[in-house]
Amino acid sequence: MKNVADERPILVCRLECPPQMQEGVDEWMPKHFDDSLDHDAVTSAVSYRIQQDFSPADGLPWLFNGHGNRFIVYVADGIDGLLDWIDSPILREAIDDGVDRETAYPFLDGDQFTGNIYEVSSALSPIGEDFPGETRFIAERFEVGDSDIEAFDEWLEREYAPAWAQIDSVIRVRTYRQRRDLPERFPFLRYMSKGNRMVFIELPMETDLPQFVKQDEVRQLLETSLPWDLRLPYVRRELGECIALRDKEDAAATYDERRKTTD
Amino acid sequence: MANDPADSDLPDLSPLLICRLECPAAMTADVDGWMPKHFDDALDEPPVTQASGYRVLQDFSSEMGLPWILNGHGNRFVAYATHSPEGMIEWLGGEMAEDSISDGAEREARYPLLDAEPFTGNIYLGRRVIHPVQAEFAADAPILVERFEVSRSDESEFTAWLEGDYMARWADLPQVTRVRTFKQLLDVPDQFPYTRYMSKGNFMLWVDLLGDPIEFARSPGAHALFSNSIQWDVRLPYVRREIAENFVLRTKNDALKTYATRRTTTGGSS
Repeated sequence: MKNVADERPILVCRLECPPQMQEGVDEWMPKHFDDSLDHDAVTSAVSYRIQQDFSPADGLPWLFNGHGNRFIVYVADGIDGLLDWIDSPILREAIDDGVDRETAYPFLDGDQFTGNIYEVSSALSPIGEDFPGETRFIAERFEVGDSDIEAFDEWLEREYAPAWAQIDSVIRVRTYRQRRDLPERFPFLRYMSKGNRMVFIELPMETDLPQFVKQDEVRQLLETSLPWDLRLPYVRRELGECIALRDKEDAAATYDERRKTTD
Repeated sequence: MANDPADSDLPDLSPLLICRLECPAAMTADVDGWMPKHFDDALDEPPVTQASGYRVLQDFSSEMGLPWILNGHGNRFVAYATHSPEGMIEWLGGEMAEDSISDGAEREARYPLLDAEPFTGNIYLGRRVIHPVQAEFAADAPILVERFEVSRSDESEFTAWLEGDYMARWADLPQVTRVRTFKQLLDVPDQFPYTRYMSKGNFMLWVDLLGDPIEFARSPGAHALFSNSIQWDVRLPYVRREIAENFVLRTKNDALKTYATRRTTTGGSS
């Protein structure tokens, strides 16, 4: 079953990449994305640099200043294809290829590696594309227990996400639910991290994120999300900018060169 | 009622040096094992009166875990008390502190960044206390600590809130033995090692607890106060809340008891 672009499933991986490794990781990413895009199901991949700013006057509010500095999204044309790619030699090779880097990353949110497979539960202001070009983004992720899930989904999908979609300059808002009924083996076990619900908001690249989140309308909206921080064990809010975006065409353009290098 | 700020003789309001770590799992046993000897070395210096190490709690379980605001990074919270601000400056600028920094340098280089800093340290001066216990540390009590980075423009509103009703309401909870507020000392010499102790978090609320800290963190009383405090999370760039249990507390007497052994081990070099 293949989804329309706005509703495609995604794999999210997050890193706390030490400063001395960032350049190497960022340079490796487009090649790694292109290798992933060689799989039929993978339609695009994007890496975001997470913004942090602790300056008292112009910085970000604390709820966006947590750990983790890279947020990576892989999109597939359907959940079966996504799972097939995750279990494929392509991704296993990528995991092997990145193992030295990965073991040098510190724990993030109590996990050695953080990965989540998400399916779209609502798409507001759809655009018919995986990504509207290079953008900035805001993601809020929550770990919601069984006893809260019904009320939470009602709030997230019926109230909170639609309110985000009403904010000026927001391009698109999507909500996601994590897929956890996966085979209990490598490599699927890597992608069972905390954060079983997510709202993902795309913004134009020219957005000044500290200013954007401090405007009254956005601040008031964020305040409606805060009570979950007292009720749930895990809530992460991250914002940042796209630093690499690749699609099938990009991968096709580098295919011969990559083959030469690996041969 | 909170004390008069002039009550600076209370040991409850002694200056504190706070150091925080994100100690990788593979290193925690080693670091925790080293801590008592390290504390005793510090306590050999006249200004240092007590030192206390805390294990910061995390619990991500959905139904019975800690609320997210207490589940952040950083797993060790270390506090040193001195008899005066001058004593703190003297101790940190002395040879013993330098030796101690050198002694831990190899470990420190392996800690990941915490709150975007390679090392986090803050010197705090006591401001207010409710229910003083006449000691720097309330024995081995678990603690709840909230730290905030407050700009000058927000400071008067913030301190009125922190040291007014908010502090008093914590002190009213039956599981709370003492509540203190601190402000960071930023007027320190602009040189090593003082520059290590200029981390974010210029205000601190320190709450000493009775009983199970996780149960306390999930209690309606704590929840109501966190609901009040969380308003700052959308205004300030840095807010950290940590709930922790003590794993080592050392006093002058403890250091005295190990002095001879430590002298033998270090060959009398200290």
